[in-house]
Amino acid sequence: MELVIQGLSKTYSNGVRALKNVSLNIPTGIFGLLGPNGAGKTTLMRIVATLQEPDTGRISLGEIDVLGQKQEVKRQLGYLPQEFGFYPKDTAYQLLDHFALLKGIRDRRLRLKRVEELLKTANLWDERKRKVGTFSGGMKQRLGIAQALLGNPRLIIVDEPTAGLDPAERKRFHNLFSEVGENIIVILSTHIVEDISDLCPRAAIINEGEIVFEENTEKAISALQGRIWEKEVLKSEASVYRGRYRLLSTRLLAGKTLIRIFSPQRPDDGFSPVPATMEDVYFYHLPAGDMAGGNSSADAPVTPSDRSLRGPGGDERHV
Amino acid sequence: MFRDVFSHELRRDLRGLSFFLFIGILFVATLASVLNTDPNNVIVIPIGSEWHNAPLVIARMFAFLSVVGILFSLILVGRSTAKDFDTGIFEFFFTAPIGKTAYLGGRLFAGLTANLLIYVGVVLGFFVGCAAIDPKFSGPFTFSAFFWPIVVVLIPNLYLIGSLFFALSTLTRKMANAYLAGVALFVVYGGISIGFTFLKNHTLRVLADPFGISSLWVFTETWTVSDINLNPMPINALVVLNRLIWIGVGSGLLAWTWKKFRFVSLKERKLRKSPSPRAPRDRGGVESAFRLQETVVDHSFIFRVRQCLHLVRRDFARIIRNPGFLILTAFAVLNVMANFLGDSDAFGNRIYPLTSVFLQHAKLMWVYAIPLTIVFGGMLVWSERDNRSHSFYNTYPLPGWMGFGSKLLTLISMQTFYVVALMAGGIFTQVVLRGWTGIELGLYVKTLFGINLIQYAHIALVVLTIQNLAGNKTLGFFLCAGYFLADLFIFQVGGFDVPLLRYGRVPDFIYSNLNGFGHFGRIIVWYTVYWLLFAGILLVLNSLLWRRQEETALRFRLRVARQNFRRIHALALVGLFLLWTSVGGYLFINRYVLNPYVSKSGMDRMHARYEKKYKSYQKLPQPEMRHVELKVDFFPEERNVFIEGSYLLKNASDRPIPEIYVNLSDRKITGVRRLEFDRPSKLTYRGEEFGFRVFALEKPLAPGETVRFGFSLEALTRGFSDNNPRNELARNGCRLHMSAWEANEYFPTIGYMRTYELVSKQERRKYGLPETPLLPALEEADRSYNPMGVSFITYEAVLSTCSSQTAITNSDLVGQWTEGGRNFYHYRSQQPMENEIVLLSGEYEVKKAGYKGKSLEVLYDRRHPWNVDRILQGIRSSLDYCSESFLPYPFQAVRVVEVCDYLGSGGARAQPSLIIWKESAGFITDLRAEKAVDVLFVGTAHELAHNWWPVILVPAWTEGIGMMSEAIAQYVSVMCLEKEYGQGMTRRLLKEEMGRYLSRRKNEQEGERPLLRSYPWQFYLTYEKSLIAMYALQDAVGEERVNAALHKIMEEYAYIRNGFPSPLDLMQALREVTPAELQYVLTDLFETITLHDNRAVSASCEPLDSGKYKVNLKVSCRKFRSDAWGKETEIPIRDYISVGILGEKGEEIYLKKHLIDRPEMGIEVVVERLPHRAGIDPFLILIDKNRDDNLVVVRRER
Repeated sequence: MELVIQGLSKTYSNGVRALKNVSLNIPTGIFGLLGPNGAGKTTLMRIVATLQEPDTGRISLGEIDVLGQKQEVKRQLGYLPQEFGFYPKDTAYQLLDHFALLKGIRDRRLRLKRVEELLKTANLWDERKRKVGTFSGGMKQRLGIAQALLGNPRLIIVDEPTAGLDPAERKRFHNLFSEVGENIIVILSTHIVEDISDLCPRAAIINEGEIVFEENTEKAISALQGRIWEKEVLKSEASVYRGRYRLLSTRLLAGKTLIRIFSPQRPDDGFSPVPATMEDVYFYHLPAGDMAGGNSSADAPVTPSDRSLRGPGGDERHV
Repeated sequence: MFRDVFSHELRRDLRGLSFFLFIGILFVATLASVLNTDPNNVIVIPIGSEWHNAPLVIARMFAFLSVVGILFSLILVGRSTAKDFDTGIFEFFFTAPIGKTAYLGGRLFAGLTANLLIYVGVVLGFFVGCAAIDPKFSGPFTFSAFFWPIVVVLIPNLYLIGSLFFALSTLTRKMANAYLAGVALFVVYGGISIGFTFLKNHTLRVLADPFGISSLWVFTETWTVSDINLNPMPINALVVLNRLIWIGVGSGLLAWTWKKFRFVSLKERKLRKSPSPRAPRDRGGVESAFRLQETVVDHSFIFRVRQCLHLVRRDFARIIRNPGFLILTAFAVLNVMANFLGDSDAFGNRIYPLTSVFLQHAKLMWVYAIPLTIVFGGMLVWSERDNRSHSFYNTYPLPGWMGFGSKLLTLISMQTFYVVALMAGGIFTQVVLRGWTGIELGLYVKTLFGINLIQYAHIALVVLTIQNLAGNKTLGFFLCAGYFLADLFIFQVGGFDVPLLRYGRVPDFIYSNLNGFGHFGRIIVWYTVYWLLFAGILLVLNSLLWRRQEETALRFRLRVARQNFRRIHALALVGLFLLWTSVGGYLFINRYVLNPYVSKSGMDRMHARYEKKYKSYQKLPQPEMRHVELKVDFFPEERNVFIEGSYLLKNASDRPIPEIYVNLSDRKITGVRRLEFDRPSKLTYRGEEFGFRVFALEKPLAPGETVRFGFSLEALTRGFSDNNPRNELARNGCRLHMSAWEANEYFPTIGYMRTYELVSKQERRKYGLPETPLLPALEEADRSYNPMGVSFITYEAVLSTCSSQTAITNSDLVGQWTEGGRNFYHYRSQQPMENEIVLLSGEYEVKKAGYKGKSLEVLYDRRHPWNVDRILQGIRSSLDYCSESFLPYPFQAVRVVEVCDYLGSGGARAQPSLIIWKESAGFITDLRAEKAVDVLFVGTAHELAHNWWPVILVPAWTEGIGMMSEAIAQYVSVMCLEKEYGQGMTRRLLKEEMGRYLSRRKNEQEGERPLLRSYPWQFYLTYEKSLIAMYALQDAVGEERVNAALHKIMEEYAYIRNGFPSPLDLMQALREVTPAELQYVLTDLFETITLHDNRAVSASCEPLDSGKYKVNLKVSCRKFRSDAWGKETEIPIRDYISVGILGEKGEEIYLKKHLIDRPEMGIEVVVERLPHRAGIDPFLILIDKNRDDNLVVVRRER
């Protein structure tokens, strides 16, 4: 089964063009959607999840016309919105049971079994009798993920699922989804690059409503291999390098400023080669204006320094 | 710091759009009520004949608008901190260097100041309004007239309301709680204005009123128009205490708020309280038990229904646990129980707790149901969005009907709970509080569930539809409020009388204990079906448009609706629409085609046209009715009646009569078979208005000659109509009238009918009719003829009805037989009688008693047997009194009949030999209480006296006409009461009557008139004041003398057809029997409006050596003449007034009239026993506004 998105455009009534002629082919497996805030990720996901209407474009899920046969889509859909809440006086257990019933699981015993499994999976079993109004952000997030797995989803859309999860929980999530994503389509939107590199064989980068990159992630990284260089500089010098090289990112490490550049040839001035990462891919494909500043302000994709190493090689690909 | 917050906040408020909007609303509301000069339209507050800027009017306006201002307070004060929480900006405030006191105080007082400032709109409204209206409606403006209401009413009210909202929204940080409190406050106000009627204790009523409104009515009850114009608003110790109490409550709330408030966000506080979430135990290992596996899911319709019910259960459980809902419901139940329990007649007697009586009270409880439905409807529709869980539901495979349907079902479940609670309250009151076992469960269910709940459900559908389409919840609330206001204004106030267009409404109906829902049953059922079908259409459309996306624009929702549109929707819509329109067509045919439709204004126009076109005929002589023969066949089951009959008409004038005018309206009569004279005549004209016809006689009717006019008519019931429901033809309780005093719809009448003329001044002006006085002045009365067509007739009638019913009419029953399964009755009068005829048929129990050769009969419903003996007693007493005092009773029988509540006003009504009592007016009154005033006895005695006045003696058509009938009937009833029950009972009755007289004077539109010149529709004069005056008269001059005068008039004028007596003749007769020194009594009671202010200043006693006691009493007696508007002028006093001395238990020790000729006097009396209290006019015979200072406790000297 494949999710095919063709020529999707959406303009809001306030004039913001959220999507511009977006086309994507998403096969079975986990598909990452990466992009800065306001790039159109959520709009795209909501449209696929039947929550919004595009101005133009077509979407099909296998045989199903997503825009026209919403009810059929919903029967196969698991969805975690970016922002959500629950009725605060329900316990986690009541809530999942409630959702399971609404998803159509009629048999009581089966429902209880599924709810129990999911609570354990989401590491909420011990908290099952607590009111969700008292949950922390991460617990709520896990509960939201659990509900997306109810029923028989063939298409799971999770919008920023790892926001608010601590590193251990995120790891659990990665493990869970790498299994879930084996036979169905999972679309995962995030601005945490690591989610993509850990989980997604394929990913797309969206910016200002346009897909600027869609590729096998491994390939994309190897295409940059051997062309990423790093150097420790003084903070005031960073702008000098920006003019001279294609600056990808700057970051602070123990009070020093590290800059990362893309260069097909070895630059002078004491740059040393480093392995390419998904983050480099991301910044490479974003227009320069969106590049991260020197600090971890709200806009910058903050990356923990836990990078997986990839081998060199591969072609550069321009979109 | 405080000043910074305050001024910043206030500046922001004063620049806001809502500030000016509120000023505008208050200005328009005030202006509209000041400009309104029609006292029948109540805009904001009722304004009568007083100045529209009188201090009391200004005070009431501020009081009422401060309650309306609850809405404004919500925005200006309630939101002052809540907006910080809503926007999240509070975190900035909390971290800024502002103290708690400065923050809270600044916010609160800025809000309150802005709230107060908007009332400048009211002041402006008064000034502009009074400048614009006729100067006679406005008096001088004074500073104090505004100052006191603002200080005493407005500011404390705003403070209390503001504190409540501020406390709730600040502490719970949710505007929703303040909104709910706002609704509750409105409800409390509603309770004060309609619900607290059972609080008869004035002190409690004044103190318990948080808005200080009650005091503006309680303390001004006896104020006249002139008092209202000149007095400042009432401010006394109770008023001040009330204000202090409620200011205290407000301050308490604020102190509590200040104490509890913390500069932290609520979440933090919550978290601190609950144990913090434990850290996950594992380190995120790779093991995962979870596998996506095929689960059996059910998308069948049956399971959908189960899911829907699951949602309903969930939402309903939330509502049922909401304290706001529980409090309001409990309040409603207590309210309806209290009203039911406290239900009493005009004399404070209880009513038997019939189920139908409870249901009357329960009907009013929509007052709570509508706000509850609006609030919780809005909450339900938006609850998922509010807790941001909507995206889950919207991506689940649930159909649109489930979203909308579950919300609707939940809301209806809530209403069902509410209705069940009301029902439980009713049954509890009946069984436990009143020990009543006659519970009509069927009637409960039919009314509460079949009518009220369905109506509420329609309201729920409206609310949900509006919220479904509205862009946000607040807008939805406003639209809902707007919808119900518009509904009220268009249909209720505006009188737009098309029930087919008023969504969800069943036309008004009357439930009768005799006739049940009767012919209204069909109307109710069909309109219910009609609106349920329409509701079905709304339901389908709402399901299609149910919000299931993030998109808000309607075009997207329409697009989705189109996508979801299936054949079944099309079938349902088309099917429902066809059914709905078919039923609508059926209703239309019944209302407009089968039954002639006339609107209220159409009817008024017809009356006006009648007068304009035919008034000139009034001057031409017409023959008088001398003998009436009727044959009336009732078919109660089919609600048909066939009327045959003839009038013998005599030319009593001295001129020949060439044309006879006949009126016969076709509104009730459906077929005219015959309408002819027994001599050659020709129909030369037939008008539209009430079937006015002109018959030209071939040979004019010579003076003294007679002609017989015969007719044969039928009135058949076809279909049903709420506009013309033919209440006269009920399945149990047919009732036809032929009367000179009101328009006859079932019988032809002769000559121009005065009764068709419009009475109200406003209406006459509206249709360009001259504003002539309706009754001629005493001195100008034409005694030779009665323009209403009252005359003396002999009467004979044969009635028939179905086998289960009895048919009754006036005069004596001379024959009775059964034929063809029907009952026949033959009635004939032996003596002439006034031409007032009533014909009845119904299922009755009969209680007969013989008394002095007369047969007394009470015909009543078998379920209401309680008061029959009291009625019989009333007949006996009145029969004795009148026969002895006036003339022998002219008939063989007296009949008293219980009739349905359908027609007319008033409780009982007298016709020759026949009295009808409406079911709810007497037969269900519970008189078992020891102190009960026996209204059945009094009423029956009163009505029977009408068999002399005016059945035997017809008075001239003139002002003061009531003196010759109602005043004497009242006199007879109170004298009978005193003979039967003693003076204690009379005094209780007098006290009630005097209270009513004094409090109703200010409602006068035309100015109060002396009794001798009163108009019959000035009921507080013809009934209440007449009773007081006649009792005072006999108290002063003696019963024998009064009766002698009445007897003389009766002897002289009985059965007179020409030269009718006027009240002046009665006065002359009374003057003749009254001693010279008491002549002033007649002047005071009848010819002027006279009031006394009698007061016992002090009393002391000293024991004498003889064992007696000498009492020294100081009294103040002042006497006033009042003008038409209650302006009083003191006049010198020279009256004989009772001085009374009472013992320990209130027993009379001394009661004697003393001449009082100075306003302050000392009186010395020697009495046999130890006095306890002493005073002047101790039993309140004289009209006195201050009625609780006539007695003082006697001080013992030495």
